[in-house]
Amino acid sequence: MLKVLRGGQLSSVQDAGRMGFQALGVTPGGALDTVALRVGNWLVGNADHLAAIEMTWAGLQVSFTEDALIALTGALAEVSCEALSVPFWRPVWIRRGSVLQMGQVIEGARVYLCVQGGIVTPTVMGGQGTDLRNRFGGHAGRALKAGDTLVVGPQPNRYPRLHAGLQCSPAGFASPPWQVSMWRDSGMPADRPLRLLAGPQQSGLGRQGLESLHSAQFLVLPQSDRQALRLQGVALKARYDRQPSAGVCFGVLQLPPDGHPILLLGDHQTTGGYPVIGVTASVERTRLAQLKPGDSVRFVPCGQDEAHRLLQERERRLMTIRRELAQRAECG
Amino acid sequence: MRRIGPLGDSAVLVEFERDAAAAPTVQGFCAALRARGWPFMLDLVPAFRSVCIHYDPLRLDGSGWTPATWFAELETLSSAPETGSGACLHRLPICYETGFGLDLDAVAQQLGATVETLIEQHLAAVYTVAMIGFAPGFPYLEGLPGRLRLPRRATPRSRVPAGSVAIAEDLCGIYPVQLPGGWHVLGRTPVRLFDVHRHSPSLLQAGDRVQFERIDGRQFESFGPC
Repeated sequence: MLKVLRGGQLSSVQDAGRMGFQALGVTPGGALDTVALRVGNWLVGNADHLAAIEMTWAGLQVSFTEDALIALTGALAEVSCEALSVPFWRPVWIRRGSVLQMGQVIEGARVYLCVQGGIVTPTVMGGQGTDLRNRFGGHAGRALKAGDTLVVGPQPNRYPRLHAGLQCSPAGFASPPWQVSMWRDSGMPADRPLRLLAGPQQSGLGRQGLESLHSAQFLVLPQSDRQALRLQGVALKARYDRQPSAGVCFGVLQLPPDGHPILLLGDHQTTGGYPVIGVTASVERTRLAQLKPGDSVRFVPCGQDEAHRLLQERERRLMTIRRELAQRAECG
Repeated sequence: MRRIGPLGDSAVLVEFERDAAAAPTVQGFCAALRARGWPFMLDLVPAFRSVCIHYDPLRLDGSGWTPATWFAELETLSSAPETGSGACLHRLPICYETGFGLDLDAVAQQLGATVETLIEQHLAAVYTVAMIGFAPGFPYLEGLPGRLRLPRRATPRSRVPAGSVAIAEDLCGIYPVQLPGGWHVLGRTPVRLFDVHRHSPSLLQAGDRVQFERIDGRQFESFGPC
C-alpha cells in the first residue's frame, strides 16, 4: 500500500482514460501525458494502461508499506528519498517504510509515479482515473490528500536482481545504472512550434487572422488546468455564425468571442460551441500535457498525412524502447 | 448531408443539414456506425446536427483503411436511409411549486403570461433529447414551445440545484447535479438523471423523448433524495 502524507498541489490517480462514454457527457480524462504513463508502466513491468499517480507541479509525499518497484516519468522534478535524489525514467526498488518526497517541477508540469501492479481503484465506466470536475472515479473521486491510502495491485516477481540489490544496499531505494532516454521528439528543440491542423471554422479567421495564428506567440495563462490551456497572445477575431454545439476532442483550439484561444486537454467537456480554428496533431499531446502557466507556445500548420506519419514514427520508436526495456528487465 | 471533415487526426465531424429535423438522421447514422463496429472507432458523440467520431489513428492505419477511404465510407453511411427509431419515451415528474420553480414568476412576467399558462405550455410539449453534454447526463431537449423562448439570465447562478428543469433560447435542460448555470429554472424533478453506479449511468440518451408530469411538493419528497 501507499500512504499519502501530503497531497501536494494537485495529485490524482489517472489511467489511460475512459473513452466510450462521451455520448453521456462523460469526459475521457485520464493521464494527460499518455507517453509518460505508458513508459512508466513499462519500466515497472505493467501493461500500458494501469493507473498511476499524476502529480502537478509540486508537493506530493508518499510512504510505502511494502517493498515496491516504481518509476518516475514525465516532467523533470526534484524527487528525493531519505535526502537522496531519486532518478527518473528507470525502475527503482523502494524499501518498505521509505518516504518519497516530491519538490518543485524543474521542467514541464506533470510527473507520473507508476507502481508495479498499478494503483487499484474501483472501475467506473471502464476507467480507474479520477474525474475531478464531476467527482467520481480514482480515489474517492477527488485529488489526493494526507491520510489517503492507495492499494497496489498484485506484483509479479520481475526485476529479481534489482530487488536483491536493494537487500544489500543500505539506502531506501536501489536503481539500475541505465535509464530510458527521457522522452523527447528526437532532434526537435523544446520551443518548436506546436503542429496545428486546420479546424472546421479556421476560414472564419480570414487571411490575416490565419497569419497571426501561425506567427504569434501565445502565453499559457494561470487559469489553465486539466480541462484546457487558456492562451493569450494577439487577439484573434473569427467571422462566424453561432455554432450549434458539437463534439470536441483533445487538442481542439477554440476561439471564444474575447479572441483568446482555449486549447482543450484531457478533461475537456464532450461538446463545445465556440468556433474551432485548429486542432493540434495527436503527437503533440505529451508537450501539451507538460505546459504550465508562463510558458509560451507558437503554432505551425500541419497536414493530416504528416500528422499520421509523425504519430506512426513515434509509435515505432516507443515500441523499440519497450522491447529494449523488456530485455534489460530480464538481465536486471 | 452538409459536410464531413476531420477534427484533427483522431476525430471526424459529420454535420447534417441545418434545416432538416436532424435528430432521427443523427440517431440513424449513429446506429449505422455502431453496427459497423470498427475496432479503431473509440467513441461517438451525437449533437444537435452532427456526430463526432473519435478514432485511434494508429489502429485505423493497421486496419486496411486510410483516412480518405474511411471518410468516403462514412459519407456513404451518412446518406443511407434512416432505420426505425428505438427511442424511449420518458415521463419525468416535475414539481413547479415555490422553492423548486425558482424563476417561474420572473419568466411569466417577461413573457406576459400567467404562471399557470406557462406551466401548461411547458407540460404540453413532447421533447426530444438532441444531445447530452455540458455535464454527465445533462440533456439538451428540443421541442420547447416557441412562446416560451427567452435569452439566458443576465446573471448566471453559481449554484443551480440538482434536478432543476430550466429553459433558455429554444431549449429545455435538466441539471443532473448542482452546477453553475444561466438558464431559467421552471421546476425540479426528483428523478436521478445520472448515477455512475448504474449499469446505464445516464437515464436519458440522445434521441429519446421526454414528457413532464406535474407532481406536488409532497410527492416530490416521497421520491427520496435526488
